[in-house]
Amino acid sequence: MRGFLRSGDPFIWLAGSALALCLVMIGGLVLVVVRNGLGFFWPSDLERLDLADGQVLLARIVDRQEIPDRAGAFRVQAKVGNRDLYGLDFRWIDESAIARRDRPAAAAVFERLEWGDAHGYLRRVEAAGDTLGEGGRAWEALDRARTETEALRDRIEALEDGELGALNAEIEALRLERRRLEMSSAPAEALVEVDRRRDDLWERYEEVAGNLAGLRDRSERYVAVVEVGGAERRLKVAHVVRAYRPNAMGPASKGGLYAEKVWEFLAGEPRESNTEGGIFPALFGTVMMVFLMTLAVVPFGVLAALYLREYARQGLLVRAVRIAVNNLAGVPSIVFGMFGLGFFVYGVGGTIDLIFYPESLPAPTFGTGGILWASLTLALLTLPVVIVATEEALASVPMGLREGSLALGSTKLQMVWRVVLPSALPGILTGVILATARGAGEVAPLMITGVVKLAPDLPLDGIFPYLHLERKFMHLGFHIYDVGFQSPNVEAARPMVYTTTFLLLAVVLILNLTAIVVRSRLRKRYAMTAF
Amino acid sequence: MVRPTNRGSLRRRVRLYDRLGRLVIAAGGIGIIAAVLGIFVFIGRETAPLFRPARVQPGAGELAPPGGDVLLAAVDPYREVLLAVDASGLRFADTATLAPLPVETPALGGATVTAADRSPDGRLALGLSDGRVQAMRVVYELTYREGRRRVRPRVHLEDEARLHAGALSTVVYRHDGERRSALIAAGDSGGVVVRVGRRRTGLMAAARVQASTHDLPLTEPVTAIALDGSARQLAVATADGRVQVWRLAAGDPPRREEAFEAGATVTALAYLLGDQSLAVGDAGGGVHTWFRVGAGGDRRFQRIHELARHDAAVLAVAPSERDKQFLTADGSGAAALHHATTEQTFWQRDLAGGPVRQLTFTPKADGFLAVLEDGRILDYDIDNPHPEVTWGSLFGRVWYEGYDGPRHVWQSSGGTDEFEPKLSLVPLIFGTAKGTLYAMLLALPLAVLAAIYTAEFAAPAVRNTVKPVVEIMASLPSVILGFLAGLWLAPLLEHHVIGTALALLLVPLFVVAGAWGWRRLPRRVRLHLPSNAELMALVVLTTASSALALWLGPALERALFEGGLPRWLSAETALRYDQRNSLVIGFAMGFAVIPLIFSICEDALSTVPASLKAGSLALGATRWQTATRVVLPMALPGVFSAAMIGFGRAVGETMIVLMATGNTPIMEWNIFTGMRTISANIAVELPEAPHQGTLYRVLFLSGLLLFLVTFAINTVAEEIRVRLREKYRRV
Repeated sequence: MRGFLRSGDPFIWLAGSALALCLVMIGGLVLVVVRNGLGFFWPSDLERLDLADGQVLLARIVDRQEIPDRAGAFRVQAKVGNRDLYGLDFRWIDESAIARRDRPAAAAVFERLEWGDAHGYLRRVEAAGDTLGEGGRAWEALDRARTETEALRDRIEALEDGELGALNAEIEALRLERRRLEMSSAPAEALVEVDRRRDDLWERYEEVAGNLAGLRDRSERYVAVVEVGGAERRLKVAHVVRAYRPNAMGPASKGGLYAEKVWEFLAGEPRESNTEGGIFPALFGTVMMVFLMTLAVVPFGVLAALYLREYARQGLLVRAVRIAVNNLAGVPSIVFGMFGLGFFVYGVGGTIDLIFYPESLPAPTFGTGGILWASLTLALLTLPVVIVATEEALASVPMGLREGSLALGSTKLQMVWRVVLPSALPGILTGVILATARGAGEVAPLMITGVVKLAPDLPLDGIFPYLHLERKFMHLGFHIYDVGFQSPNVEAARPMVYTTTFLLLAVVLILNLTAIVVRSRLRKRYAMTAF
Repeated sequence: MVRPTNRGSLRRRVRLYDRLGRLVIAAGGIGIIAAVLGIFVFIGRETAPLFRPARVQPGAGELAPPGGDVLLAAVDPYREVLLAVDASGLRFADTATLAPLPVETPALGGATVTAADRSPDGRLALGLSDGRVQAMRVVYELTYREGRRRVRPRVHLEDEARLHAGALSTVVYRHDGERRSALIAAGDSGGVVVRVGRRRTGLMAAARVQASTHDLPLTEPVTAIALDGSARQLAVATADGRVQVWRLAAGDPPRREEAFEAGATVTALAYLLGDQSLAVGDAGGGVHTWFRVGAGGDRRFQRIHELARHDAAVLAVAPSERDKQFLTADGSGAAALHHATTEQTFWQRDLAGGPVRQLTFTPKADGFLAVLEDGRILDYDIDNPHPEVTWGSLFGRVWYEGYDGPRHVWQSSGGTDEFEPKLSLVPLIFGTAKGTLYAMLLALPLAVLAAIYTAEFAAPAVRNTVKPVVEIMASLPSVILGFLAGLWLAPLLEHHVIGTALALLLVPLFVVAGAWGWRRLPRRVRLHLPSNAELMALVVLTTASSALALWLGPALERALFEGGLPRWLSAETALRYDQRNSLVIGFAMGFAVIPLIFSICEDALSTVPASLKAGSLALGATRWQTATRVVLPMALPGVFSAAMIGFGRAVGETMIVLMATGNTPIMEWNIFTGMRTISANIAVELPEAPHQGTLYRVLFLSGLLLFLVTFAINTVAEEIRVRLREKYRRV
């Protein structure tokens, strides 16, 4: 035994167990996110639970755990749906209180625009009092009704986003023009002209709004009568996003439904204060913000690194600057956010408003958080990453290349531009990718420079000037924080947050893996060129 | 082929480009670096006004309204309209031109004004020579005409009553803005009369007041009177140096709640904003504040804050309508500006005009008016945007209203405008330290041990896979860690605290046993195992032993603590168990910090010159001895630098703390409660903080603190690493 201790092996193993624990933690984290994130869309079966107290529930069992303080007793977490009826989506049910469980084939899930899912049995479909289909024919009738309501919904959305949106923008532009005219004490005729144009617009607006109301009425005629907990409930077909009978579906059709739901998640609009529907605006906001950030950080970062490495005289000052830049990477991101708010939003934005948008004051245009300021703040935050990576890449370009180039008579700029930069490009790229990954995952500075829970419009749309840099935006990371912690119905929102988390994790991991691969290729190349 | 004639111009062009390029790169590079370093300057500049001394200067100078002997003067929020009360009544004038403004005022009916009082909400009481009191409300209406703003005063009579037989010497009027009002009047003949009114529902105020009038039973002559803004509490100072506090209720006679000795005869008395504190000036020139301290029914006035003294008896006290500032003036004509909570006296000066009759703050607290005994009005400007912040209030204990002693408190906003902001950074610094401590407690041993193993004992193949994996761990967005910590780990840990503690015991046991078993394997078998077999075995062992511990945990918990640890803690000890606590933070933030420490540590360890290791092993030391006695001491500065960089990250981490703690600014080391850190505090409060307000600047100051600390730590760590590299080169 003493020999065993003296060999040091147990200590080596203890040290190893620390590494093992770290690896287990990473693995566990990824596993938790993947399991919870991917399972959300699977149309699992509905179970009919007959409770001992006579209640009958249609529910999805999502979790089962031992009841604390009561060994051997288990409870299940059931998603009972019908939030409008029960008030809650999820319930914990003691297994001993369940008298009978089975899976009726006719049990159906109705995903709705409001109030979450409804669980029940479809009885019949009506249109303005007439029964379109009943019993076995009900599903056929529902399909027909849904085809029509969906076509109508498409038209409604096209009208709302297209014509109505454009009219709104024009009316707002006119209002501002009027303010501007008033402030510059323009002649009264000009004001009258603006008013006349505004009235024309309003007339057209009313017309389009009337059309919309007509379409809405038509689509809301259809009603699905569903039996829930023994009573009949009437659901407007126009409010049903999706209806299916999971217990009657095979794995293939479930897989199809799964894919459809994943697509809706990625490309759809959020519903129910972000706890349902899609996250497209958040995804779009993240991508656009990262894109703008990269656009800002790359040229400046590379320029600064070029100066530090190729042009500046290497002395104490440059060394100090290098250390300072390096250490900025370790400064908390919230400090950058604070700077962004104080300098970009209030300082620069406030000045822009005073000079270019005095007519809309005191409502700020650029003087409040927006995607431009958020991107610039993150650009500042990731600048040290790019500078350091670029400097390293420049440093690893062999001196021989530079000397050769100069010896052949090139100027310094030509040498830098034609020889050094191309060879350092992969290294710079690695830095940029790492910066992008960092920017995509950073949330704290965004919270004070322009990210919002729900942005009504994307920062890029079909209304002039197409790119709206002053707009607030949505972001995957903030979506996680907001839905997971600020939402009124955290329990119901949790699966959605896991899915968003999975998406963000995937984005960041893919970016990082790319960086790692690029870098390892790079190492190999230099290994060959070294002489 | 370039023709010879063009060669010269080409060369010129190339040279020009080269020079231009050099210029652009140099200018751009220097500009960017300057801009980045400018962050520091900018943040510093945003906080600087917090500590700028107050500036009090004569404003428009002497205001001489038409009329003469002024009793009381006030201005509107824009300081455009002057209100002055003299014997012939109420007048308004333009402050710039002093031209009188025609405003309809209540008729005096032949009497003259002998006393006047103004309340902070702009109400006015006039005491007349025939013993009547007129109570009125002055509102300032804003109109825009031809692009010019105009302020139009209007006077609404709210109550009128005859309270004395002879001329009045003191009147006070307060109205709670809804239904209650109280009028206090004292005459030259002595005796204080209290009229408590209750407005009946209806709009026409003056006619519908239902009031009861009572004499205040006092034995001593009255020296000062103050009434709170809700017209419920009346403080009366008497010549014997006592202050009596009376409770007023409609219909009932006033009830005396308590009386306290103020030390000297109180000559000036006023309620400060919020109606909790009484500002007191006495005959000896002392200025102090009092508020009630104690719990439940036993709350008594106590002398709390001492301000700079006057040389003569204090004759006037004027509270600010914005904050806890107040003005005092004495019989010799000196005035002073104080802040009660922070015990500061910003300014004290002889007004050089003789005794002061009355003082009034401007509504926005950006100036004051002093009415002198000879009827003149002096106008002063105050520039003191952040009176409530001092180094003492940020880092020291401050006695706030409603507390039983000086405390470190962070509570930046409350439900009402009268809220007293409590901006002590100490609870936030404490929270930051607490979170960092627990994170480092987990991260440091794990990361350093893992780095030692990876650098010294793991096969090269293992190292090459472990390093990228840890790098990926470093890149995990903290919002993901925070989310998992708050919504997944926290509820899980609540039932597994004991299991986690048990794992601390079981994992090492299993691992040591595993090492023993490994040694007993036949050498033949060991040599044929793949290079990562040892790590695989370790992963299996740690997973199995932790799982076992977590499985046994609940049973053990049931056996040890009845009803589970959280319930047991709150029942049996003074400790609390919050679901989102420091333990959760330890795991989550530890997770975020581990990869940083690991990477730097591993670098420092693996770059220790191989000759040292070889020498040690050749002399017969075991691998473990070599690692701990040769490699580790050599690389110790690197390990230290790694720990510092990890520390820097933990200090500034925002999202994890924001999501995985309750964010309450408490000050206790209990691992089962949460904290509020500087960074999370900025994230929560900065979006709501008004631009360039006090909170905004204090948050910037806390951010500056964070910036300086992390920057300093990182710089030191970087310097250590550079030196270490030098050392390796020398060896």
